[in-house]
Order: sequence, then C-alpha cells, then structure tokens
Amino acid sequence: MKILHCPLNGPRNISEFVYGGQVKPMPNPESATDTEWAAYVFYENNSIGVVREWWLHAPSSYWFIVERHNGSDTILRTYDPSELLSNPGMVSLEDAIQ
Amino acid sequence: MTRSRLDAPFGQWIDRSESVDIRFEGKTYSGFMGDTVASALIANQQWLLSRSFKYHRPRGPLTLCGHDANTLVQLPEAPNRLADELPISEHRVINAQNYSGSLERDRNQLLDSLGRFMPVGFYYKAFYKPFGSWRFWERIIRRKAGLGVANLTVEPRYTDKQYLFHDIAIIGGGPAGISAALTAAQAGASVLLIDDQPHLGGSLNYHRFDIDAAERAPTLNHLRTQILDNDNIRVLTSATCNGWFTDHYLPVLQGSRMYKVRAKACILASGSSEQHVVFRHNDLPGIALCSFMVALVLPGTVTRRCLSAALNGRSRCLAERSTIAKGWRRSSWIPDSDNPLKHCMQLRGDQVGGKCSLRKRAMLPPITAPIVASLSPTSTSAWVR
Repeated sequence: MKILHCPLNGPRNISEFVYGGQVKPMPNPESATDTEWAAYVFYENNSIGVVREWWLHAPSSYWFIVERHNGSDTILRTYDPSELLSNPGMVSLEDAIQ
Repeated sequence: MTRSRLDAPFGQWIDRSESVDIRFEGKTYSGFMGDTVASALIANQQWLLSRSFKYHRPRGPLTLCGHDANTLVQLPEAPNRLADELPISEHRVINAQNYSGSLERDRNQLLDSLGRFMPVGFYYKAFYKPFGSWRFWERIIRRKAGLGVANLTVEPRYTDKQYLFHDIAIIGGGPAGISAALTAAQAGASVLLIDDQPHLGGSLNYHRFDIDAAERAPTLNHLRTQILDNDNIRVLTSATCNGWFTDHYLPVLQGSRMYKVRAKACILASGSSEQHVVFRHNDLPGIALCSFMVALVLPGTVTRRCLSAALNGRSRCLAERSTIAKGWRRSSWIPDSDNPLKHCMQLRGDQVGGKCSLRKRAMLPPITAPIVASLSPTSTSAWVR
C-alpha cells in the first residue's frame, strides 16, 4: 500500500486519503455560463506529467495539495493549501509546473 | 522401510528413534518423526499420491518443497493440502483425491485416453447447449473432475493480524538472506528475516557446495548463531511472504496469523527454482526435478537402489550427482535425446518395447527409482530495491 506524507499528520497509508481532483481556477459561479461550469466540474487535462491535486486526509478532514507525476505515480511534494492560496498566480497557471 | 533410508550422515531432519505411523488410503505406513507425509510415503515406495484434476492422470511428488500441485491430498478437516509440506507428526490420516474406485485403478482413467477430444474449455462449449442442459451435466462433471471434498462441519479457526515495522525486510533465509540481514543489523538497521521453511538456512541445509561438504555445516551453524544472537533481527520461519506491494508493504502468512509488514527497503533473496524438462509424459509419478532428489536427502529417504537419469540439468545437477551418487546403484547422464523418457526408463531397467508399453510402464509407480529431469536455474539471483 502506498504511503502519502500528509503535511499535518505525517506518513499515512493511502487508504486514509480521498482524492479531490486537480487544482484548477474556479470560474465565478455567479457569472459563468453552463458550459464553462460543466468544463470546470467534469473536464480534466489528463496529460502525462506533473500534476497538482487536492487530497483529503479523511480521519482529520484536512485538505492539502499533492504534486504528483501521474506517469510513474511518484509523489514529489505535499503542502498546505495556504501556500497555494497566498499565491493566486500558481492556480491560474495550470501548466506552470509541467 | 529402513532399507530405503540412507544411513546416518543423511537424514538430518528425522529422528530415527521415534517411529510414527500414518494411514494413507486406509493402509498403514511407517515413517519417522520429522518426515513429511510425502517423504514418509516415498520411503514406503508409495509414489502415487493423487489423481489429476481433469484427465485423472496419476500424480506424485515433483519438487518436494511445496512448489507444485502434484501432491494435493485430502485431510479429514481440509482438502487440497500439499503432502510435501505436511509434517506426519501432526497429520496421521491422509487420503488421496479425485478418483473413483481405488487410487491405483481409477475408473475415470478412461478420460485420459479421451484427452485429445477434450481441449481447454471443452465443458463450457459442449454442455451449455441447448439452454438449461448445463444443470443436468454439471452434477456429473463435478463428480468426474475436481479435487478434494470440503468438510462442511469443520469449525472455523481463529485468525488474526499484526502490524510490523522494520527498516529492512529480507525474503529468503538462505546464505544470501542471512548475510544481508547480518550486514544490515550490524549497521544498526532493524531487520525482519522471512523464510517459508521451518529451518533457517535455505540451501545451506541441503546443498553441499563442495565435494566433501566440509564448509556447509560450520557455515550454517556460524550464521545461525549470529542471527539468533542479534537483537536487531527478527526471524519468521514457516512464514510465506505472498506479495510485494507499493512502498514495501508485505503480507506475511505464518500459521493462522497474517503480518502486515511495512519496511523501508526490501531484499529478495529467494533463490531460483528449477524448470522441468519438456517431454511427453513428464508429469507422471517418479519423474522429478533435481531439487526433489536433494529434498529427499534431507529426511534421508533416498533409496540405496536409487538411480538417477539427469536430463539437461547443468551445474547443480552435476554437483548433486557427484556427491550423493555414492548411495545410488547407478547414475547416468543423458543428453537431450529425441525420446528422453524411453531413454530414462531403459536406464532404470524397465522393459521398454511394443507400441504403448512405454506409456503404460510410465503410468506405473516407479518401484525402483525416480527419473530426474530438470533444467538448472542459470544463476541464483537476489534483487535489492
């Protein structure tokens, strides 16, 4: 079983975590068209490379960010979302880390 | 029975002072404490242990170390147990599986001669039409083809699990595994050493390494003492590691307990297995691998009149032959010939002649000696990750 290093709880079994989808900029729900909103909810990039994802440590309800190579399933880095949210440029530039 | 046993330097795993009786197919056989069911039966020249799943071909031990399904037998409490892994000290009543009538004269042997008309998937193609006919055929087919009988009254036994955390897990307690464990433990790592045999030492238990086998026993004793004295090493014997999952997560089964092991690194020192030489009827009782002969020496079961015909087996086979051949009447080295089985049986002293006598003779349990047919592994390998 894979081990994921939770920034809050340390190394834990992957079965304790829930995948939360790729990090991508959310369109404004007030002004977005249905097409834009559907694309945000359902479309994933699915290219091979390093991806930035939301993960939840379910027992402690803690959401954090994982940078992972989805070809080799290697986890490169995990960190608290504050790092991401304090730097809005990271969210909008999807391919910044590829 | 003692006639068929090798004398004292051999048979290190049996206690000759303590005789144990087992019942196989209603007949009583005598073995020694430390024998497995298979080795005790072979010592009594009972080579035929079971019948095959579909064609009811005779089945006898092939590897004698639990690597083949040829020795599946029925216990009162459980079906499909490997006779070469059952100690006779614990299992006294054993039966063969999947025959009709008697084991020697199985009425369903007829299926073997019809084998060419029953390819893989035959039942599913032939008996499913017209719709619903399978319900009729299934009862008949399940009686003809199958293995043991489940005991529905048996009480479920208690099983549990335990989590283990170690720096290094080493699979295989042979010389390579032990040396790796010692090196790692001396460097301060906490080590888990896992071996599926009851005796630690792997090939040091049976392989002679040099002609006089002078190095073997002292090396084994030396390594074993060091292992047992080392507090950093935990040893699990009679334990099977049946998987190597992501991030070194290893399920290890020992008795009725499953260890879920998480290690930081894993060393596979499990050695390598021989391959059977491919020829017609190579599945019959009495045709075995070189490791089979070696494993027979452990309980000292090899008969004095034994004769080996080694096919294609390379270095390892030669080594064994040169060392234990003393007790054997005649040993031969057979090149890869057009009809190896015939060649072997002639050497064994069987009367080979006529059109179908070769197959019929091969079907009979070998009264005098097994035929050894195996390809040696090219090299012993250990992977480290």
